Amino acid sequence: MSSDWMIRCTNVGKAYQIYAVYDHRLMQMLFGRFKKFYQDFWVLRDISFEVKRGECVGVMGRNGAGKTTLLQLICGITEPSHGEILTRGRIAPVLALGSAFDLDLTGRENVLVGGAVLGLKRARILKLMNSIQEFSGIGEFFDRPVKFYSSGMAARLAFSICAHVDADILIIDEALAVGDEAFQEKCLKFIDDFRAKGTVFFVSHSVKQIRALCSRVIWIENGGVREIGDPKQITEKYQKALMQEKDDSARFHIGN
Amino acid sequence: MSVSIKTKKGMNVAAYRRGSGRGLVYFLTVPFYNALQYRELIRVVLGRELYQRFRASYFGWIWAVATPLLMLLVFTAVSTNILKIGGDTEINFALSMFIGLLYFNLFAELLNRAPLLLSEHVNFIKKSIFPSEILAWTSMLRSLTYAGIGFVVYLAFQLYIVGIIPLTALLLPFILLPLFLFLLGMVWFFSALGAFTRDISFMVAAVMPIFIFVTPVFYSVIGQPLEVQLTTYINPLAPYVEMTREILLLGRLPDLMTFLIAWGVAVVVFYGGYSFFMRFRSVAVDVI
Repeated sequence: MSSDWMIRCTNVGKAYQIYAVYDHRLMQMLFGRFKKFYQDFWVLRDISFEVKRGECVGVMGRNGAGKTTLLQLICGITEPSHGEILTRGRIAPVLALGSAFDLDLTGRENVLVGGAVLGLKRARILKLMNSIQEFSGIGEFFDRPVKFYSSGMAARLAFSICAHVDADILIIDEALAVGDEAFQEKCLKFIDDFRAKGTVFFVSHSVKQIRALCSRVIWIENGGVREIGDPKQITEKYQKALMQEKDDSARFHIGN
Repeated sequence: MSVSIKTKKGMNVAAYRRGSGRGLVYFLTVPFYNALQYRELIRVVLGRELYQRFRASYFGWIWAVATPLLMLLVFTAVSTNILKIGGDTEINFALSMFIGLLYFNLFAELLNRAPLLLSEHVNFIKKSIFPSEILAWTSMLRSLTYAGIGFVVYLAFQLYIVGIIPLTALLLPFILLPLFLFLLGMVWFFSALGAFTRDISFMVAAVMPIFIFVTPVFYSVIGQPLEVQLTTYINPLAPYVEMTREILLLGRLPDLMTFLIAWGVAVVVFYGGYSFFMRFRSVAVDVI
């Protein structure tokens, strides 16, 4: 194994606890050492991979395959049930953009909050404010409460904040889907430039974006890695598999 | 640069290196070190909450001053005109009742909110790398702001009506400090517990009104029969109310035993609450 990795996952698995009765959560918390009150729901099993500096890794997979959970694990938002995840440097998560915005605050004020959550000092945010405003391209709406924004505008603002964090690892979760083509173009260019100094971890359903950006693709299926490799090959296989499997609700099931 | 960390937090490498040498000093300093490290974030989240409370209304801060003032006036009017206690004591009665209520309100506001604290900020917690332990600090600082305004109004009122604030009032920080520690510990404890079941929130709401009578809000413990004194002192708020009355109103030094017990309870609750919260934090993320 090489030593210039930025993210390293070794046999990572994540099980959520599914409770038949709501209050079993409390029982589990209090008496968990004596009895198990839940059913395990394995979202991810035995995932291993390494991401190097300067790489842009795309993650593909169907709904419920475990993509978002994988990103949350890498960010450290939730802890793996087994295995180990190591990361180096500062992570900037662009997860479900704009959902953390306070609707009553203006865009500018939300930048202060969002920047602080991403670990920026107040002085630094104020310094970057103009640049963030310009990148977002929402004009006068920047000083209006976020409740008057369209979802695209909120996404623009959110991405602009993340784009200004001095991160080593950028984690993007289907974030670009809402923006219009022009903004997407801008973001893709940013991500491309970002690769010069950092690593990008990128979830998308868009084959086009993955092919344009990524140097490697991880295909996740039913909580496991189905294949890792060249973007062109994997996306082709992925699309083929989608055509064959169709949309079958039996895919979503709890338990083993 | 080659520092590797477990993905507890992508942002703070230093904290985790510190965590490797676990000793008593680490245990005692880590809650404060943690708050210091995230002071910028605490400031921003606090600012956002105060904004919601004050700037979204026309009169903003005026309400915060008017509410305690009005209450003081009503207390004074009731105790002088309706209760007719007579002489100097009636104004003392009103003031001491106000002190009791001030503490009760602070306690009630914090604890009513604590069980829902994590789900209130679920977007921060689940969608970004957010140290949820700071929510206890912001929530306490927010409530302290209101209580602080009440305190200032109270002191001004006492100065105006009674004409004097005794020198012992300078001891106030030594009484408030353990109170803060105690409240922080309680918020940590109940916010972790509240993430697992909504019942905690309903339970707190149901029990809280009892506290207003168990806490010596409308009476003083001193001069009560021993049984009453004992039952009241089981209540963690009572010592603070009594001690504050003594130093602010009566100009006496607080009882040393009461003072030490209050500090002891506060320290235990503070570290207990913090450890409890940190232990269940990662599990709580998955259930809120």
